[in-house]
Amino acid sequence: MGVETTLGLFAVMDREDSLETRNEIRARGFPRSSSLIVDVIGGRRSGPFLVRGILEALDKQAGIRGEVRSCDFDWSYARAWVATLGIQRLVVLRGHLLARNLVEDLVGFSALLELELVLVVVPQETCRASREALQRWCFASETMAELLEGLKV
Amino acid sequence: MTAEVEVGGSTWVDLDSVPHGDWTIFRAGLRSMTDRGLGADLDGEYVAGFELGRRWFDVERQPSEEDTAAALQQLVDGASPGIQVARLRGCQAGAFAAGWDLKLNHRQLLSRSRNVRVRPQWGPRVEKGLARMRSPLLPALAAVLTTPGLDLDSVAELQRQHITDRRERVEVVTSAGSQAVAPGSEVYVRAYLAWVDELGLGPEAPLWCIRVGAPRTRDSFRRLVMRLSVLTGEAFGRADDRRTSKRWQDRCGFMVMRLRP
Repeated sequence: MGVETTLGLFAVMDREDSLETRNEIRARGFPRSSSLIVDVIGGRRSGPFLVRGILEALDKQAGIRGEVRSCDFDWSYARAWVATLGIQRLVVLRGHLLARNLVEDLVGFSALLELELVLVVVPQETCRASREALQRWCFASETMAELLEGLKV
Repeated sequence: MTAEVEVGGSTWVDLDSVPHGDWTIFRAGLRSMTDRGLGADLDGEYVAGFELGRRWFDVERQPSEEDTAAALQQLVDGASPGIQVARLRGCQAGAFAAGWDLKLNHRQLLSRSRNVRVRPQWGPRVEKGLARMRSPLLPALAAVLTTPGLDLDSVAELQRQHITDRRERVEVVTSAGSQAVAPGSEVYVRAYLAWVDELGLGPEAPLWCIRVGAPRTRDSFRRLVMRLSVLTGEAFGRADDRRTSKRWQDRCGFMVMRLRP
């Protein structure tokens, strides 16, 4: 932490992790702005749920009956929609619930689409592997006030 | 049958919001819906369909297939898919009350237009039915099918190189020239192109394919188009294609049979 990033990767330390703050952030996200707000559901930390969270944030959830459902397809749909809908920033709430590989998936996703990635994490609940991933990818620190200011519609 | 049912209406009801049962249990399904207000509205549509069906089938001789198809289309024209199904189920009950067994494959019926070819239009109704699809395939297909100057056959044969994205316009290039897709539908075509381009297809690759080397067959393309009609309530399928199937469900979407002499 504290290292300046050129990758557009930011971590916001949210010590309280309150529902009010999360709702406030969500209210400022897509489609009202170019920031996509993704909430990580507790207990569902695998890749398919992460990408479904992204699709849910884009309000893209309905499928075609009989359609093959796969995590890879969902990632490709998410990439196509994000690239098309003019999303510039991806804000992931409760990022401390992400396993290290999912942090890396998100870094790859945002780098490919040239997005700014903001992880909102509760420091005391972040596991060691995820902390290492944040350090390795040089996530810069951002305050909650800066995040909310940046999300102003 | 006259168009006494108020067509269109401001309420959008999608197909998944209405009970899935056949006409014998459909009204019971409406009454047990958790959304009582919607259930009552749909019940009104069902009753309207019933009245029209009973009047239409109150005849001695079997009505012709063309007349019945036109009447059923008139009954459902302009309404959202859920309302269309409620009216059709009511119509089946009305036909039964008049002594006729009206079998309906509403998916097939809704995918066909009247005796004339009606070009589907891109609009809020179509967009609402497709906006939440994960895959951009169906919305993009709808956008291209609603482009003037294209028919089902030419759309089925499109290649990647036939769609260009220039500044604010997305254009479909055909032998007759370039046509811009309908305003508001560009984003769906762009998303589909982004998805297809990620697969690394060449410019001559068929446009509607799911992976390299696996273009959609004609049948699967037709099923997609039918699905579009069901999801949006617009007649994306064409009325005058000559179907080879002998099954009534595939041929015309309905069958009428006298129950008592």
